[in-house]
Amino acid sequence: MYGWMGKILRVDLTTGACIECALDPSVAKDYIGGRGLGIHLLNQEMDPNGDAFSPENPMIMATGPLTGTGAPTGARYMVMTKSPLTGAVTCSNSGGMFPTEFKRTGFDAIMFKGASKSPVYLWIDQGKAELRPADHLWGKDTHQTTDLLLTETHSKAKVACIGPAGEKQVLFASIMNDKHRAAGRSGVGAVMGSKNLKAVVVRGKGRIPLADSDRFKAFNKKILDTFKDDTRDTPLGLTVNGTAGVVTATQNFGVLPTKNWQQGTFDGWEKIDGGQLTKRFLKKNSACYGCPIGCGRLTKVDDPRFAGEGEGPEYETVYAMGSNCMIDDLAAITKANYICNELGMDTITMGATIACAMELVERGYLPEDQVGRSLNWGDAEALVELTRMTGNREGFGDQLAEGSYRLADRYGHPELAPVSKKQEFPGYEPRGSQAMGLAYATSPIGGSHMRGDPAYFELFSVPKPMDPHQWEGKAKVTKAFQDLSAIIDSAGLCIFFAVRNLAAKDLGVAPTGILEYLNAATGADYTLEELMQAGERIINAERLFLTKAGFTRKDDSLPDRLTQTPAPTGPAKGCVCHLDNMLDDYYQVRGWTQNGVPRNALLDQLGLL
Amino acid sequence: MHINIKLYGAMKKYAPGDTTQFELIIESGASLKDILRLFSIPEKGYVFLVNGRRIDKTSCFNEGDTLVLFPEISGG
Repeated sequence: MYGWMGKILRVDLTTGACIECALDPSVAKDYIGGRGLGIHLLNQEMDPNGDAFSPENPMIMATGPLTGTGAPTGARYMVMTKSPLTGAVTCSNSGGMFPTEFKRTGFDAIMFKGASKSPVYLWIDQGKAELRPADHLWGKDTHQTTDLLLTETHSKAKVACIGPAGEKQVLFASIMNDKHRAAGRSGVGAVMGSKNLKAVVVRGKGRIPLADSDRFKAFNKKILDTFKDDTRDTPLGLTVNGTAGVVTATQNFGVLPTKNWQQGTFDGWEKIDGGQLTKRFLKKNSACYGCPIGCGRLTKVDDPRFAGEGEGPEYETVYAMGSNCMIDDLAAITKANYICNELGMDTITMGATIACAMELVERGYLPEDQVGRSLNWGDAEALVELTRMTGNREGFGDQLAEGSYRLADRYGHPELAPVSKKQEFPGYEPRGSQAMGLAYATSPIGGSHMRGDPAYFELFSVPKPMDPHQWEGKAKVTKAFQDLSAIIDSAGLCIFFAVRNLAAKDLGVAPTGILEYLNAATGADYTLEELMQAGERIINAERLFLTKAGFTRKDDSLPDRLTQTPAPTGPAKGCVCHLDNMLDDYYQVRGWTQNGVPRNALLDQLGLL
Repeated sequence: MHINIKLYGAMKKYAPGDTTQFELIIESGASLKDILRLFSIPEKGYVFLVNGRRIDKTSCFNEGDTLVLFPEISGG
């Protein structure tokens, strides 16, 4: 095979067996790879009603056919499993250098099943896989673990690992690779911890075989030349200030989530914006493999209260730990971000859970003696301390480690949790960004911006603007973006480049550029229709998992404060999110029943019956 | 008629003086295009919002409107 390596490694952690299996070419074409291959394997292997922490829950790491090929931003891999946070499927994605090295070992994907009796790590050296003891690594943070593993395997190997949060099954524990990059969401690190799997270490060799190398190179040159021309005079905002530059946009559109999602504007926004990050803490940009953007931020904080060094924070972290907690101290936000990376936790859920706790305290539902300290809006020191306690499940951190929904529910007010399917939202307020609300509610993994990101057309005017306050017409475009995201995630690309540069410049966002890359790389001879149908197949395969696990329309929900309470401030003042209207349209556009279940005719057409 | 102008990020370089947030007196019927011309701001490469909403460049202002300009941003 070309583009694909043609092999899947199955690792049984209970018995210690590592078995190579062939990747079926027709499965590869139908599901592309990455996220698509992951859901296909998960549907085959997992009872959707099973427990996320059961040894039977597979954890799948999968690259895409464009990962490591040199296609711009072709640097990504996916982690698929049943989430302990949501009870739904999750697909958490990360870039850096690990995914390319992983694919160069000769495997498209690794599927872990079972659970080891004692801590282990998987070491794949140029195609040879073995499980090794990891007792000496248990308890170490992600940076220490990475350094130790590079010493005992190979200095040029790449590492993905969990920290103490994953070991202690914090429900939103991440898997960190290359120290700073995160498969962050939905507790994939907790599932890895439940299997006693501390790390995956890979060392590959050679290049990814391409079906038509000349065609690939010619198209790559054309795409990169166009990108260079477009950004020569005006570099991308992502390159200049990283994702944190988005604060300027969300604040001025009135959709910067603030005070646990009570409002969409924050008075202290200029202190936490990407421009400040660049000015105060940036050491240099960093880029994932093959990326011409370089949105990563290597930063250093000298303030003795919050001193540290690492990567980030990203926009989502700045919203969750900043405006959402009414904290305008960027040093504290950056420090809490470093702690999340080192202990291995998702920054979005961490920040959103602390903000939820702040509101529970303010309203008198959560006694401060439970917290063990004062917890007021804007308390930067509390943010840092509670983040550390959560990663170690110390004191009140043990309650925060369950996420905002379970915390708010414990104190009798689940309506205060900013979640869909029990997962916390990223940083775009749906009262002033209607389609974002629809995307959160219908994302298979719960609150997420990465499973179809309407901020592109509602806020960033990419490929064309749509009025963020209007709900009419949003279902069709949201579906198109979700299908495109499924293709991007499965091919091994990053949304930051692919939406702008590899899709049609209209609101149908047909994956025209991805099509050319895939055909040159794989020789699979996709038509545009086949590729778009593959995106739709992946979304429906995920929905099937959810349907079997009991999810219906009632779970495609947003908290009442977004659908019933008018926004109190900013440009969206007076607006609510019209989710029910959009859901009616959306199910119709998708070919699902009004209860959110895919119809048999559609499943038959997609080969899913 | 008075309008407020706020420039952020790289758009600050188009400020007429040291301050990047200022009030401007304009003739009734002046459009966004007129304002852009006044400050030699190019046609592309940034976002402009009036009271937090996108407007057409030929739209006119109302008394007290706030015009915000910032560089194109995406990501998340």
